[in-house]
Amino acid sequence: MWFEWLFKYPRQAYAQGEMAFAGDFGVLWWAAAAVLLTLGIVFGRRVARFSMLRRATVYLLQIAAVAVLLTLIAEPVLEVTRLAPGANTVAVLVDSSQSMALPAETDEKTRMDVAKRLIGDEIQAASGGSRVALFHFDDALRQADTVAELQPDGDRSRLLESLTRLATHYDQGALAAVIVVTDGAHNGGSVGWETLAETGIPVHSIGIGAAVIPGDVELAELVLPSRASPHTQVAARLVIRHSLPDASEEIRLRVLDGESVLAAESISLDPSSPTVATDIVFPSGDAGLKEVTVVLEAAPGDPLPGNNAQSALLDVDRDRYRVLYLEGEPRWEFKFIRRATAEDDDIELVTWLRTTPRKTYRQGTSDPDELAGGFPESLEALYRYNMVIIGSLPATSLNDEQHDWLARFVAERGGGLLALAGRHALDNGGWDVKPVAQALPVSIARPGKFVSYRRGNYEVIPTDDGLRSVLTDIGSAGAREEAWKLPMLADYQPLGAPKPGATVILEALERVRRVGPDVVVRGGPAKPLLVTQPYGYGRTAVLATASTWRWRMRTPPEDTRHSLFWRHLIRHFAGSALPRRSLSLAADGDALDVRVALKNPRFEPLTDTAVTVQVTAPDGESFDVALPRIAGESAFGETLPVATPGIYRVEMAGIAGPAPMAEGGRPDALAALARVGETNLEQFGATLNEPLLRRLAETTGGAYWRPDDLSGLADALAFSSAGIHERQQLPLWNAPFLFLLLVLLKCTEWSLRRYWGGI
Amino acid sequence: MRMTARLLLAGAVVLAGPMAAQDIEYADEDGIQLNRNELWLTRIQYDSVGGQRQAYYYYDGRWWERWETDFPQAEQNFAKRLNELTAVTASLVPLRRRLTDPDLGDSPLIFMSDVGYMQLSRPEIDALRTYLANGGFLWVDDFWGDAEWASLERAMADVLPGKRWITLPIEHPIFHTVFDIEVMPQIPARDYARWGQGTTEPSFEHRPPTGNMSTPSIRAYTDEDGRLMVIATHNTDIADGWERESYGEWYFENFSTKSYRVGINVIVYALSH
Repeated sequence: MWFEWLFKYPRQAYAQGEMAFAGDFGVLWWAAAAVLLTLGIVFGRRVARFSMLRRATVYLLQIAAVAVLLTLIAEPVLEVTRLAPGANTVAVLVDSSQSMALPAETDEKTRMDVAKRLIGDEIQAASGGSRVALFHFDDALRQADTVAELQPDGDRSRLLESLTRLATHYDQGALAAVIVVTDGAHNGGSVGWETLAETGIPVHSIGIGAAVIPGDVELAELVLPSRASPHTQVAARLVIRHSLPDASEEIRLRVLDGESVLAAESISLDPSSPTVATDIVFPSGDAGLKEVTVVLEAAPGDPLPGNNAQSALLDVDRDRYRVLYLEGEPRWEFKFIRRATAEDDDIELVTWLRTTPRKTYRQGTSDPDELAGGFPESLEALYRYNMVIIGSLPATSLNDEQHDWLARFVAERGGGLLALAGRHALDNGGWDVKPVAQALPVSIARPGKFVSYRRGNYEVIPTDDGLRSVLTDIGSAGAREEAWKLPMLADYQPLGAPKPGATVILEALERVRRVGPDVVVRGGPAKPLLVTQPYGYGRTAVLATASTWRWRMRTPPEDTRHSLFWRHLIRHFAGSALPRRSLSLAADGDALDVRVALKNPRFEPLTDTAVTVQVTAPDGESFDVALPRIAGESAFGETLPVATPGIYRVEMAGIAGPAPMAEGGRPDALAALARVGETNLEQFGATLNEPLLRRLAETTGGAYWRPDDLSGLADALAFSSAGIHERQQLPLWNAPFLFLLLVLLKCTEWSLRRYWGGI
Repeated sequence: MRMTARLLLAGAVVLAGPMAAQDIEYADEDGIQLNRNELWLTRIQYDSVGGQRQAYYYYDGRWWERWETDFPQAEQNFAKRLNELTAVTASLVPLRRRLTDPDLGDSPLIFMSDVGYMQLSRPEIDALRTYLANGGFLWVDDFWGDAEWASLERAMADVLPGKRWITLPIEHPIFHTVFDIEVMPQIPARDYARWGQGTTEPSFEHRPPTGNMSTPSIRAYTDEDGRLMVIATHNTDIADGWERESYGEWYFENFSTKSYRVGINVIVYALSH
């Protein structure tokens, strides 16, 4: 305000404009200059007795004053481009979603009431000579003729999408700026910020609403795995936001499947922590599709009870992991890995064990021919497994072609590979010169001819990376490090350096080793024990021991850590395996995006076929859709518009041509579910999202405004960078600043001369 | 069969030396031996009730307690055969442990012999129950007749109350893991093996009443998943076949080879189930 009083025009004018002089430097100007110079010399005589410094000061002040006077005579102007009156449009975009029906601040007026008042008064006034076009948005962008049409009844806020559409498609005149009046909720669609900035239309955002809604408790986020095995424990990740008053409060959480309660627990909400992340575990129950709802029991006086519950879809189905374990000698690790995995119905362990130099023993095979010749005798047969475990088995047990297959199994099929320690394992088994050595996460080149595998006492220590990995999740939450205080291992096989990109999960620390009658070696640096890395589409790991069985035999029977370790390990590595057929489904607003990828038994992309999917709508009605091949990709897909909100199920209906057959092990994803249209969406994130609105304004060259202070909006619009402009010269000769400067210079000169006695 | 026996004997002589050299024993800083070999044949030392010819007996110039019947020669010979005939690496030095020893868990397979007068203490019962629940495997051998069976049955009823013994049919995998055994062999102690006579030991050598001892069998406890936890080779002395393999060609060919077939199958079964 003071800037405009002092300099006569707003900041925007000075930021955009250029200084110039309207008058010419003719006879009058030169005459005035001569007169002023003469007067200066006359007065100069009166200060001749001053010292040189004082005379110079007085001369400078006089010359400055003369310069200001000459400037005024030359008629200074500010050359600017302003919106041409009557030639431009200012679009006002009002949020008409349901969140605008909430109280604006602490008073009784709704956010929409405030928006209407602003449009009728200040925004109309600020538009100057530009035409005001009124729009509103919720699920879509719409134009309104009058303010009375604006009703807060939309069930979604597509803010960025609506803005971009308005800025790029408005064709009823030159659009100079957009004023968006909203609480900042944005819960539908996605448009890149760059796209919005490229329109060149400045967006001025006016934020309505409170940053905090006192007393509100909101279940802001619910994250569930999309799939779980029947009768297992499922963890739901919750993010709770609250603005409770002073004291802590106990809130009851319940997990529901329909009306039946799956789990319930209480959580204490502390006012000093407005955002809380927590997990709640519940049983998956029988197979089938479930809509799992997590409910926070509303406290009395909760202003938004509608944001206390969220639902997510959970597909409870078997997820089988088929694992091939090749072992070259009967040993306890073999037995106890089998026992650990036997407790997991989802792991199908097929084992091939060399019992004598000439005999083998197979367990878990699905038919008499499986592994009859030892290692699978074709690539297709190997690819039927999700993971391979190599025990104490000489590399010569496989021929060169089979070694190549094993490396491709990881890189191309996405399988998991785990190499264990042993007398005939890793470098001791000659694996260091085979192709699979490239895939392993550590160098296993043997340092010499010695057998590196040795027995001793080794303590297991998880690394920092390990403690963050699912592979070490064998204890209760928050006590993971404590859970790894396990009985010592009895053997270890030294490994080379981890490769770039590898992660050391566990380390082994040798404790005591007697190497002779009187010589005992103690301690030593920690050495890598379990190392993992991604390789191609799959994952590989080396576990440099074969005595984790002691974790089972040297702990109480109820201790499950050994079993959990192996189950996590196998699920993690077998889980990387790619499915032969995959169907993915994503809901975006009122559309379903369906994609199907097919592979042949050798896991090469299958593209010369036709794919049909069956879509089942929430009302039970089904229809088939043929999916075209996506250009440039080895996949088939289509975006399907749907109208009815609810859960949609899409299933593979038919594949023409050389269709891949379903196989044992992990089932291919042949059906997928997605929910279209969220209920109660506007109750979530209902506080003023000021950061989003500020970013919006900064990205587009506009400004953020509070509704109680729109005084600068008119000038900001007048000097908008978009629209049709006209060039103007704004006179500055009567700007108060120049007169104040002149008075200040003369007063200073007079005061100094008076002080120095020259007047 | 004769050729097989000769090969076995020759193998034992050739391999015994190098195999013994493979054994490395580890000890903690107090010199206590640690079980670190892949397979240690571990004999369980237990107490028996009664006096002479009951809890202990005189044989071959000294008094023997029941638990140490055939020990350690049987295990030593068996370990050699395991190393020679299979891919198992077994320690040539057998271990002796009580059920209450803290490092019992380092031997996931334990062996008991001659249990006809066995009496387990409460701590031993509890320790054995824990051991079995963790996945340990118990093999009981060399007990004959009804009374000695009843002795084992009573002891195990305290260990695993409510469990029922089952007699394993010849189709059970334990008879086929390495060798296909078609008939459960009855192995008598060397002293009672006579050419032309039966294979059943005399009843006066065993706890009365013996009943009919002519049918050998493997009886077992299984866990809830059907895996064997305890096996009892009843009316047969498998370990004597190992111990006395060098006491004569006729005994070796007719009994020791059968003992090794059963023993190897049991060991490989225990290591793989």
